[in-house]
Amino acid sequence: MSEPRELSDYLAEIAGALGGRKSYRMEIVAELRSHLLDGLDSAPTGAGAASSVVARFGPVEEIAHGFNALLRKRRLRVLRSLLALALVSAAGGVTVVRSLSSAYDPRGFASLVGGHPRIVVIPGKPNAVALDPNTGKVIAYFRHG
Amino acid sequence: MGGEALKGHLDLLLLTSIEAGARHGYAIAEELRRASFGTFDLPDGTIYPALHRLSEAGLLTSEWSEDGRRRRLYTLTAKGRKALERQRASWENFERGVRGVLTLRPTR
Repeated sequence: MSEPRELSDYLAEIAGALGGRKSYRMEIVAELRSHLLDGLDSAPTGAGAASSVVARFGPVEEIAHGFNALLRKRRLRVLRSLLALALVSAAGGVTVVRSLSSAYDPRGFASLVGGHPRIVVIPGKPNAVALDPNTGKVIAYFRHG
Repeated sequence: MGGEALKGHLDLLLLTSIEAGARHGYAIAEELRRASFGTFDLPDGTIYPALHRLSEAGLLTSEWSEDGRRRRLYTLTAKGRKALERQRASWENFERGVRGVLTLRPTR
């Protein structure tokens, strides 16, 4: 069964109102599409079926606002972590860590940065790195000493 | 009952509707409507940001099911189950309190 024009237009409008990367927006739209098509399958057949499914789903602005608020909170969390790291670095805390170990999980500092990143100092190098504890990926570089 | 009145209780309702097993958004919305006898009739689309928020908080996990139509299925995590127990206990306590007050009769 092909998708009614009304559903496609509605989903395009939602996609246009969403923030974030294209892949993120497309994932959301795919999820919402399956819901609308399920609704259409259950709706009484007739000319107004697609309209009633769309009306039941809700206003575009309200749905997009919900997702965009989530996105803003996520960005704020990342920003806060990076800011905390910068503050720790500026306070010279990393120098102290360096004197303790070459690869040290500084619990004292972890509390300052929200308990998330693991700070690793490489002896003889001017840079330290903060690693994401879940993925092990570098999330920030900063100078120490 | 509209969205405003439901706001504070939506998480509890969503977690409860997923408690029995993996569900996709459409099934959750239908379940809420059916189990509440139509009382909770909020726009279907508004449950999705809430489901994503609960997933980000680690209370739900989700995966795509390819069984016919492609749908995202949500499942409770251990953390979600604990949160549900806490919220349910809190609600039952609140409900008991309100019911107690409502049974008061004016003295003549």
